[in-house]
Amino acid sequence: MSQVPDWKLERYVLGELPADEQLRVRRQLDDDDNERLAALRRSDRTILVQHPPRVVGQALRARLGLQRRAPRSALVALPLLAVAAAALFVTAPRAPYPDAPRVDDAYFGVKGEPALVIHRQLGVDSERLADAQSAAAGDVLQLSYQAMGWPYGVLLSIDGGETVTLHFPLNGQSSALSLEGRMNLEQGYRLDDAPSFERFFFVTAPEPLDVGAVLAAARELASSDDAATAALHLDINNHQTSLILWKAP
Amino acid sequence: MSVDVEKLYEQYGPMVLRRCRRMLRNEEEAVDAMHDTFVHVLRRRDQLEVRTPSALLHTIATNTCLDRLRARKRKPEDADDDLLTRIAAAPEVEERAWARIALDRVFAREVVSTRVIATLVLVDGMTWEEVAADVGMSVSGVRKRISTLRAHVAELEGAV
Repeated sequence: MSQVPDWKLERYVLGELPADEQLRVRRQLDDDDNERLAALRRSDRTILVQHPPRVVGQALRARLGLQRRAPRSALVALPLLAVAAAALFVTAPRAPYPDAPRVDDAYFGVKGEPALVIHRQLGVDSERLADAQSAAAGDVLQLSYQAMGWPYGVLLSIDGGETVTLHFPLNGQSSALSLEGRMNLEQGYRLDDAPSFERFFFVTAPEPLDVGAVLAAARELASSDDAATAALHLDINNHQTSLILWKAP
Repeated sequence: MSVDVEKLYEQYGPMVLRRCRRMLRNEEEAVDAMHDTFVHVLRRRDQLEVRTPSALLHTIATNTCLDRLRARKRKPEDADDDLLTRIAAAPEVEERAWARIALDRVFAREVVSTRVIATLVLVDGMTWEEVAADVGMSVSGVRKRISTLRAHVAELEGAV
């Protein structure tokens, strides 16, 4: 029967018990405790996927009125990649919606940008993909969005072969978004062998979206020279977030 | 103290969320409480002088969840829930009289309630010494505060 209480096991994992107590717990661990430790580590991974540090950090800083510190690596890379950087992450509020619904307090507690989140399956685990990260044909992706109060949206991707793929909504369903935290799309997406890149767009709007019109804009962009950098041309109030994955040769 | 928000969350967020889940048993509320806990701590980041944030975050999360349980004003659902709910509903007069204890060791002007101490002892099974270390009090101080709630605590213990 395990004798180590939950709170102590948590601190043991974090290495924050007093040294003598840390040692005592280590000697005390039995099979049940080791199973509990493994479960804690699994839980850690799951929670950080469900509530990624970047998203939570953004929400916390917003509530605290803090600015995000520029990553050192980004500062170093910027002079060399200034042009490319513009292509990496485009958040293009083409016509800001002045009366966007206030964000549901249930998750963020503050208003924020709609978010597009992509995880790559790695066996039983997954890793969150950053903008401009490399990916390969065959990679299985889990697409997620955070509406942040925007009631309607479309999630699609274009690739280097000028193909447009609609990820949400499917089967003629409504473009109404779930406003309850981050939503995973029901089906994963396997990257094909299209060349160069796969670029994902999350288009949000205050009114129901004409999915056909958004797809038409995507096809137009996909066939253009600036498919990896420009925003979709839509003549409606909308907000666009994009994330590009560069295809490994 | 300069705090990297993402790193702090990445290291301690799962622990805090699990704590909130256990106490609130409602995912949405637990996530909110986790956010509130970090905001509470980060608002005082300049005063933060603690080398083991897990104890502080555990205490703050406990207090945050007790506040939420108190706000629910509902009947308890089971024995553990009942104990927590009754702790959360501890009379305000006791709170005013005894519950506020300076935590100078951790935060200037930070306080912890007797309800939190009761939760750490009665729900988490922490010893007087462990509670004292977590909240920055003497063992006798912890015992003294709890002793003032003797009748109430005895009732709580009877509910376990």
